[in-house]
Amino acid sequence: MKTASIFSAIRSPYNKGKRAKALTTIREKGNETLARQELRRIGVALLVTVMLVSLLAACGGGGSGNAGNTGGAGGSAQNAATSNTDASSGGGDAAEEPEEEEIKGEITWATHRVELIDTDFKRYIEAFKKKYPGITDVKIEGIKDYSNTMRVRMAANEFPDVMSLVQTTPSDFPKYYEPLDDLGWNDRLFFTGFTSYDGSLYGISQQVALVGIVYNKKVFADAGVEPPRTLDELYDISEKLKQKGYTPMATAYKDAWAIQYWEHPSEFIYGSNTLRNDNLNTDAPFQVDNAYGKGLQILRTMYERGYLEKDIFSASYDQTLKDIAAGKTAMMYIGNFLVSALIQNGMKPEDIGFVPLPHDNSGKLYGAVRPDWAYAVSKTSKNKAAAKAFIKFMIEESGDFEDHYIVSPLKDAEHSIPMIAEFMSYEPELMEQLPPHPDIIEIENKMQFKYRNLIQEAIVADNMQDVLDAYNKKWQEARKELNK
Amino acid sequence: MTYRQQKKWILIGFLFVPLLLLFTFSLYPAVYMVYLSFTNWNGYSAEKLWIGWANYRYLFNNREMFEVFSHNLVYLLWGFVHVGLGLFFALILNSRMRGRNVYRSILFMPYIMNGVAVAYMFNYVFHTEYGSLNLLLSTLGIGSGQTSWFGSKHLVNHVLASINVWKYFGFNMVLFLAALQSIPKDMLEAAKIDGASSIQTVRYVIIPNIMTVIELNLFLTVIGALEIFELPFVLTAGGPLGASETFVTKTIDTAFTFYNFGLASAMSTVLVIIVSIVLLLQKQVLRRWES
Repeated sequence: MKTASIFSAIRSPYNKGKRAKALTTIREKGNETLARQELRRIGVALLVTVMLVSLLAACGGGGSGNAGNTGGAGGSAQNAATSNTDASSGGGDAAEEPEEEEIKGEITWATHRVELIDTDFKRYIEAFKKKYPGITDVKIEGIKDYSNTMRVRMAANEFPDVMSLVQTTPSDFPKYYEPLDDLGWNDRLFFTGFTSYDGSLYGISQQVALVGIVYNKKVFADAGVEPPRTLDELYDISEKLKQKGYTPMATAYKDAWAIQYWEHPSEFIYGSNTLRNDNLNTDAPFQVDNAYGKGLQILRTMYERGYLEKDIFSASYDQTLKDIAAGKTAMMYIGNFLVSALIQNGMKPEDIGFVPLPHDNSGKLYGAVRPDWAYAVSKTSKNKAAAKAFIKFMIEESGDFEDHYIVSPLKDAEHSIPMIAEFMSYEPELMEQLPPHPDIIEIENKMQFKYRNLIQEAIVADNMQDVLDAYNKKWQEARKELNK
Repeated sequence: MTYRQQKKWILIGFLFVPLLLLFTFSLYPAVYMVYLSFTNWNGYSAEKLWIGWANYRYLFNNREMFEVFSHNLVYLLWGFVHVGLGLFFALILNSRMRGRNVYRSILFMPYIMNGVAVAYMFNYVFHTEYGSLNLLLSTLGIGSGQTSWFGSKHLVNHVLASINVWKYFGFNMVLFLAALQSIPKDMLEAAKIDGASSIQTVRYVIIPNIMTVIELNLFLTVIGALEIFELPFVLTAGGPLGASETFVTKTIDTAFTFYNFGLASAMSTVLVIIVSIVLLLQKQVLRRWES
């Protein structure tokens, strides 16, 4: 409406009443001296500015008005949802039918798994619609740079119904997301610690990533080696693979994210998943002879003996996928999601092996378990019942896990994935990743620290302690500045 | 309505749209950025706590934030190369050469290509194992054929900057061409009649005549070198070990990796100030040199 008034202001000279007024003003002003002209010019400039400002204000006003509306709608939808859950919990299992009636309409789903949007996800959505005939559509938005794109949308208060939980400080969860406790899974789920606040669960990990050595079975057979059970065996088979002309271990060093998993050997040596959080007790967490240094030394030894890519500085993830699939590279230490990526690159499932990484010679093996993006329902969603039903469907019925060789976040789910079975046959102790303490996140952001960058530097440095000391110093400074 | 009034309203009408665009997409964000640089905003939260000069204090207490400007310096050096190359080709293609329009388009082409596409393309050229450059060099028997172009601390910035030369000299050339064509023909003829050699003509007639455009090209080069971003961002992600980070990639990391939008805004504001200072200096130097 305000926009309209601005346009009428522009047209005002053609408007009789205002024109007359304008004329009288001029008459009042009398002869136009130079100074007056100047004044009027300033007046025009002012007028333009005022118009601009009022338009901006109108935009702002419109925006906040909308936000208010959606907020209101969200509120009422929330009320509806709560009363709905009340009803269903009161009715128990028998009340399933009325609940199904509630599930209708349209929802949007923003996912980072863009490569599946036109294929498997379409199939799942068809099946979902079949189950709930009231659902008219599930619109998928594929977002590649998920975290950054979503943060912008969060700042603008524009959410899809079903999304992946973007990590914020946990105390902000209730502001953005809907509690998912009524799905009734809480105790059966992995990684609720990452997405809970104040006793409520706000996100459900979309899969569980096991971290281990993904290897090419054909290459292993050709070199006549077996998967390693001790650290010395790892070095041994690497030597044999190297002699045969293969690249024993891929790091994708250049894409720092792929190297981050080498933090886990340090946790295994430490014997606990509290390694990162225990940093809070010390002023110099990184030492050559503590768990960090010893864990890094494994990769450093591999580097020094030439078991990694020839030119690690240009080794990228995409190229690594091709090289493992083509049988040029033998192993990579990474999450089990690599399996489906390798299959997409033309590798046969039966050629892919998956085993735990040995961290010492004791024979005791660990398997690190990491959370993935978590399904969440946005606070402002207008169709929360359908959104929750969709998450339930994706996890329990869609077939997503078998189709993509990934592991369900439900602890008691059954698996028929051969790679996971192979991994488990080594009887590793599973080490669930812990959510980092908020203070840790604050300090690390303050010192602009990612452990993956430390790994990159430490394994190629002439003197590892120098690198670690530089980070220790930053750690101390950031702590002091934040008083943590 | 008087003629004067009509003129006034038409002026306002025409100015309104461009001014509106300028305000919403340029001035307003810039002012807002300066405001953010005094807050501790994390990029999504509704609260923006005013923390005064703390971001600036942190920035100037951490020298390593500014050390990356030594990387930008490499781009500046190569920047002079592309301005020189641009001038050279402009002089050649300004003559009555056969097929000059074709050459002009070919040389200008890289500039209109998408920066990220260019980066990907050169990734294939400079790749250590699969790159065409190493293949070419080893076929010619130069070097080991295993040079890690993006993996060497000393080479990486020069390699990236040379890609920039390829991309931008065509743009410099077009600006120079426009300037060359505005030089009065009779002046050049007079020089020829007086017996000036072509080098003398360039030195004493052409260059003084296109001084403003040279200045403009240097201006753009300096800004480009200080604000270089997409090549290291796409090709090396600042690696190896931060050797190809620039001030802008560092700013982006601060904002989008470590969620410190306040500090990142402060860094951007400082960059604006640095660019203005460098440009003022450049103007002073060039003016002195001209007179």
